Amino acid sequence: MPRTDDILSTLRMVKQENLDVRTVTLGINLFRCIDRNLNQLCDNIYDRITSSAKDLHATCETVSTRYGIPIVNKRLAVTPIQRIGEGFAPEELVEIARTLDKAAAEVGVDLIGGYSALVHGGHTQGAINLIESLPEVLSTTNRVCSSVNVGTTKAGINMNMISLLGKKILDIAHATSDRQGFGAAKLVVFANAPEDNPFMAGAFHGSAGADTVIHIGVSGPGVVKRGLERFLEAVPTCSLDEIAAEIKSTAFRVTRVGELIGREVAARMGVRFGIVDLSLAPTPKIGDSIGEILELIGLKHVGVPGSTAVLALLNDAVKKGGVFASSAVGGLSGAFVPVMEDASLAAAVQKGYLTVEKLEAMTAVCSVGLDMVPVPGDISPETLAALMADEIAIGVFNNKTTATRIVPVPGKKAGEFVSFGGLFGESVIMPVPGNGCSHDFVSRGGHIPAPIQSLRN
Amino acid sequence: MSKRYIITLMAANRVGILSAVTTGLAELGANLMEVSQTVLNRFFTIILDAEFPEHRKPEVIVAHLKDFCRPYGVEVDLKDPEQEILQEMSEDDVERFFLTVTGNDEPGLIRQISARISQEGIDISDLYAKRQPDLSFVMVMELSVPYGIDVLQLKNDLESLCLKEGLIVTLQHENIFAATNDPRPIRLLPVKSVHAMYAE
Repeated sequence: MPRTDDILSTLRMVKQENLDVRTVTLGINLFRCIDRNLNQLCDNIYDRITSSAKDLHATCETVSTRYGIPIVNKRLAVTPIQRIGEGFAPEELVEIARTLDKAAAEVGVDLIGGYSALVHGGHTQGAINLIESLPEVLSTTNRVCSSVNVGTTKAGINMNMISLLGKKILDIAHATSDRQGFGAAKLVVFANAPEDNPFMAGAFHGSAGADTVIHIGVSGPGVVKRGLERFLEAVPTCSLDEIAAEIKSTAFRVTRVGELIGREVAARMGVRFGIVDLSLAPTPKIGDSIGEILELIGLKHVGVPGSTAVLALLNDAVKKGGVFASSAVGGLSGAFVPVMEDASLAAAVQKGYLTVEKLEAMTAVCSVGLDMVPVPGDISPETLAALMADEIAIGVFNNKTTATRIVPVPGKKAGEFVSFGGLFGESVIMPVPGNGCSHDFVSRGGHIPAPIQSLRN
Repeated sequence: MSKRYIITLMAANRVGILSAVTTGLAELGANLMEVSQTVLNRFFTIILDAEFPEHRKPEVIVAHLKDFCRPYGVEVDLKDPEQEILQEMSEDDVERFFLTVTGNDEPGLIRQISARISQEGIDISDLYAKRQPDLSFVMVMELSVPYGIDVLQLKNDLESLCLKEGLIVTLQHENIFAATNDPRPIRLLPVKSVHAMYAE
């Protein structure tokens, strides 16, 4: 029999500290579906998805029961649709998106990622058409999520596409103005996008991946926070290196839960097991917050001086614990700072401690980037593009993944309140200084060359 | 030739008691095969599986151990496995689950839960239960669950049973505890075995 305190501590993580498997994501390669006839292509895609994922929901339920671990979401990620739908017009691509939406509904998943384009090295007409179709797709489908990779460390940054996305994100927000611009929350703009990311909205199935693959996203800010609280009660004067060691230990245990669930779901479905992504993905629930962890370590508010350093410590310790726990760690694996989805971050914005500029600095040392950031509806497309370019440059020039999920809220100004409800959370709208001052830079277009890999000072 | 016996010993715990027991056994020519010992509320208990020379009589073993451990007041009981009806359950036919119950101390709880579990032919292979200083109650049962049991149904039944008493019950396969507490790599059954085992 395992030690009783080991059994009880595992139980405590689940029952009291919100440990769950945030997502089991089935990656599906769609290359075999390609056809020049749109109807045939859509039929092929629908059949491929519904046959591959027919057992996903039931298998997850069985495994969840077996281990007593909640599996919150079951999701799908498909080959970037740009690759499948090259040559189709924007309105035809919308039909493909509706097929994805229908197939996802049929197999009982809430989100499907992969309505995506990869344009870091240059763009095809297919990529442009896909981006042009986004306002229609994200306003008329329920489950489809999109992403565009606009830069990599090897290829540099495609500023033409960032400029186009600046316009399109505003179009998406206006197309969903009845939902306060919510459509923009389903689009991620990436630098160095991982091809095995299980988290939405940025998941897609990498073109070098297997036919089908199971990826796991585990979360656990609540577990890390409670573990740290207990440690600080026992050793109130502990140093930062001791705190890092404690976080690593918790990250190890959380990652292990993900690997166990992933391996078993994959084995039962007869598909390959891919990766575990241990990302501290907060929810608006009190106690399930990255900001609260930062405050626990010694900051009165998120965003005050020291925030970047503490976040770096947290992000690094999470990765180290995860890597020791599993040889299959991948995806993003770190700490997310989605403003609207984290009550503590949203509160810091409201009190004025957390600004866009400080958040951008913090994203240089953690996962993702300017995530779920609500901005005024009157932001200019060029300023929006420039804000994205800044975040993408952090990723490209530091050889890491960064991303933006910026939501312009139509008809609202900085300081006003926006709420999407549920896991998407709420916040006051963040001011973006210098609106309209980046027009000439963005209008130049072209490509920011790939960064030098030596002389890195 | 040798003969195996199962022996239990119990006494108020004192330093030196295990040394006396094992010395007494050595004098009887015993070879220990398996031992489990615990101290509960300051009482020492041990159950052991030992081989003795074939000619050694059970009454001699008990008398010698009692006599040798007289300073400790040890009670000794002996069973001959050949004289008992033993349950046949292969390790290959069962999976190990842990049932954890936490909440207020409710009289009769273990009785009710064990009755429900026995209906399914599930063996309770280990049990830990303790009232905490705050009068709450923690119980962990190790269950040998035969393949084919509807774990979800059992879990739902136990949850309804405990909900009435305001208790939280959790049923989890043992792998989750190895995964979260043991640094060794996770090892699952080969895919084929998993499919064969859960084919419905």
